[in-house]
Amino acid sequence: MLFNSIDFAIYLPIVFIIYWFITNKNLKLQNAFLVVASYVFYGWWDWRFLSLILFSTIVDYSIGRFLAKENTLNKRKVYLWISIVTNLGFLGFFKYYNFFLDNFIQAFTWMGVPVSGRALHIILPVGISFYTFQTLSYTIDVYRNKLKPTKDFVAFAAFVSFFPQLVAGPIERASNLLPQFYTKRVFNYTKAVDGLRQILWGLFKKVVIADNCAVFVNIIFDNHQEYSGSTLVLGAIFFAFQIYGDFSGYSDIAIGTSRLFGFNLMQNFAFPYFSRDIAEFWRRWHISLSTWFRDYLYIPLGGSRGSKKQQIRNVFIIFLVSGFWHGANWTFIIWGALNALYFIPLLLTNNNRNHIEIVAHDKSYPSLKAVLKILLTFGITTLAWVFFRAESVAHALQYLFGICSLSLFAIPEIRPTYLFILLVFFLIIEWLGRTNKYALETLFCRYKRPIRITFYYFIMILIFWFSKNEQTFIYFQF
Amino acid sequence: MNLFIKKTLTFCLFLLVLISLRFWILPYYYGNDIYASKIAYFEKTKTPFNTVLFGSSRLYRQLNPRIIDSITTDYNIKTFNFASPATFYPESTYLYENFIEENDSKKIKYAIIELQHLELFKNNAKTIKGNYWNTTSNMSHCISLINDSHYSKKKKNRLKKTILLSFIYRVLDFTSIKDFFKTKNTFNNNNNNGYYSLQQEVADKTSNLESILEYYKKFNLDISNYKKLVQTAKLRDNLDVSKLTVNNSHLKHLIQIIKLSKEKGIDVIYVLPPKLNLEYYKALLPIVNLLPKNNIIDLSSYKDHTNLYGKDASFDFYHLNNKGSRLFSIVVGEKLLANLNKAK
Repeated sequence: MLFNSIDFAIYLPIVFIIYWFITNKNLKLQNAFLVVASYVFYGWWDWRFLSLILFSTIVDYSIGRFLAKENTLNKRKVYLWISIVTNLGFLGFFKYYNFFLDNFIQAFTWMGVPVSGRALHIILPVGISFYTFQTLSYTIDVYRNKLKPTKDFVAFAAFVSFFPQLVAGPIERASNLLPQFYTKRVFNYTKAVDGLRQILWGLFKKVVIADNCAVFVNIIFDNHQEYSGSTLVLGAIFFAFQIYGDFSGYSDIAIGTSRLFGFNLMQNFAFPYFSRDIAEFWRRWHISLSTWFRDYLYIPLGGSRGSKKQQIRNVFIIFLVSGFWHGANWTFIIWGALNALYFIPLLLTNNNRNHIEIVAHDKSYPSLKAVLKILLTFGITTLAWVFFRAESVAHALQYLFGICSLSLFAIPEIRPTYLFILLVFFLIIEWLGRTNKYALETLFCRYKRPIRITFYYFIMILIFWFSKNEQTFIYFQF
Repeated sequence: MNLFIKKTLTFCLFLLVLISLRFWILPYYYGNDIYASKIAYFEKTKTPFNTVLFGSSRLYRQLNPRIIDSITTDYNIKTFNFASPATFYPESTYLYENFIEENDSKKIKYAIIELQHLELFKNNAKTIKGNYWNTTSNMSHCISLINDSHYSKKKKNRLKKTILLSFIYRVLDFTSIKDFFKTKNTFNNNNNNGYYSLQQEVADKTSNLESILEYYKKFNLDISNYKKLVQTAKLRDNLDVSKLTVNNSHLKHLIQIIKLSKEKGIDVIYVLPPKLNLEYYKALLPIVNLLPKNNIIDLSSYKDHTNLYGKDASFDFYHLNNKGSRLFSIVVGEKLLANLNKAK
């Protein structure tokens, strides 16, 4: 079920009513209902893959229980590895089997040893990368004794399958989300209203910004040979907004929906396009994944300790794995490598933590220097996005070569005025709300109710007006 | 909690009112591109049409107004075909009822409407074409029609869910307004007064019906298809109509349309086409028996219209090719003439 579908618009109030009015007297019942509601939500897409979630739930719950009883380090390690191998095994099979097979065959053929293998027609289960990482974090935290293993299977099943964030995150830590299933949720008016506001803004980002950018992105990327360099630049910029609107929009809806049910999820995006360098960008983009890699991969590898060589190696590993997490294609790996290359100079010069606060956090306008830095960061990020969007490395290179021509200075063939206006409006709202968790959080709260409500209606009308037929979220494929 | 629900409902209700304002702007046919372009043509043309056809592709693709006009010259009939693809009941009657409401009915003397049974597809419910006609009155009519039908309880529930879903989508799907103004799809008149045979459209290089052409070729290569077609048609002939249930809601609606039209000076003639599936005949034949004889043309009998079932007349299971359409138009024209003579 898509968040931007009428199905969900009908489903959400039904779940909400049952959750708060029928199952609210008994915590176990309420959690069990959340599991059922989440399974229905997921099964709406393809019920066959529910077995994967259930299997993953049983495996990690059992391993958590075994770890609780086991004090021997070696045995604990074995349990941990069973969990890692099982979870990553599923992920590897569904997501990477054909990629590895293709590359294996190509490599051997290149070496003059022809081998054959049959690619499988594999459907990638929606959200597998997300819930796999979420359950893995549980086992790892239990192994590290940072988290007490749960005895409550229903609560654990609800944690794994919690429908607002099941298919595209935020990738929650067990230490944050799981305890919320142990305590009785109390309805909080302010929290629920805030949730609705965040859903509204998420829908705007997805339906108005991302889906409308997508129309032009698809045209330009699919027919890049026919367009001037300036149009290709525009296509890349539109994609930068598409992916941001799409993914952060999804996260906003997920967080907002969770708040309606009394849950708090972590912030996943913090206005990344206002970043002044790439290090800041990565602290503000897909925070739940970045911190996951930081805690479970980067730090165990040594992090920023050790020699410069080791630091560079660690940064490269993190970004390459992050790229590969996004998809089984060399384009994602190159995207990761590019980001690593952007990041390393900052790390080597100890400038990777220069910008912790949001730009102009105590002022209305940024300095010229900050604007130039933001533009530069946005520029190099957009350049990397070309690899992320392209079908293949060759496609991305042709696209970039297309940009590097005299036609870069020509007037773009595609100039969707309405989209430019929407983007300017979007950026203004994002700028005004940049010090909050999401742009609309407190933006209009200081105004009188009629003004505030009119603004919300205006956003709703924009959503209705610019909506297209239920476009799927990009991040579902990851 | 109560305050939250109250405020959210008020917000949503007002939003609903706000988005429903679009129904004031949109014409009643906003979800049917072909019909919209036919209306545009009809309103522009100087030809004094006095007879209109409403229905699905079974009339759009098969009933040639020029043939009807040539047979009924004594009555100075000038026919325009308003039928459009996949326009099933009650969409077709919805269009007709609104058409006579909006147009100067004095000009129209006869309306030929395809007799159809309720046809609902779950996937279509989400499309504008599949829900723009689903007004509150159409939805409640459909529900009572489903209740009165001979279908199993399971099928009734499924159909009710579909009609409800389609209604919700109609109300919430705000894109309709944008799509309507974007629509540039026009029918190919080809001097045929709204008629366009399937075979002709497939043959036209401008058409995008390649998949249908492939289907047509496959259908024609497999001789067993004709056997199946004839078998079904024979089963229809063997039906004991007296034992079939009459759908009173459907009958009442059809009679109401006859009366409403009469008030506006229009004679309605329902046409029961050949080659429908058996389930539809089971639902429609008892109604045919109860409708006034002058208001019905029944072409469902295989025995009486064997020529419409032959390979040389068929396009596929449900449609006729050029030759079949010509035969069909002649039969309808002749039956219409007979009805008119009787009424005289």
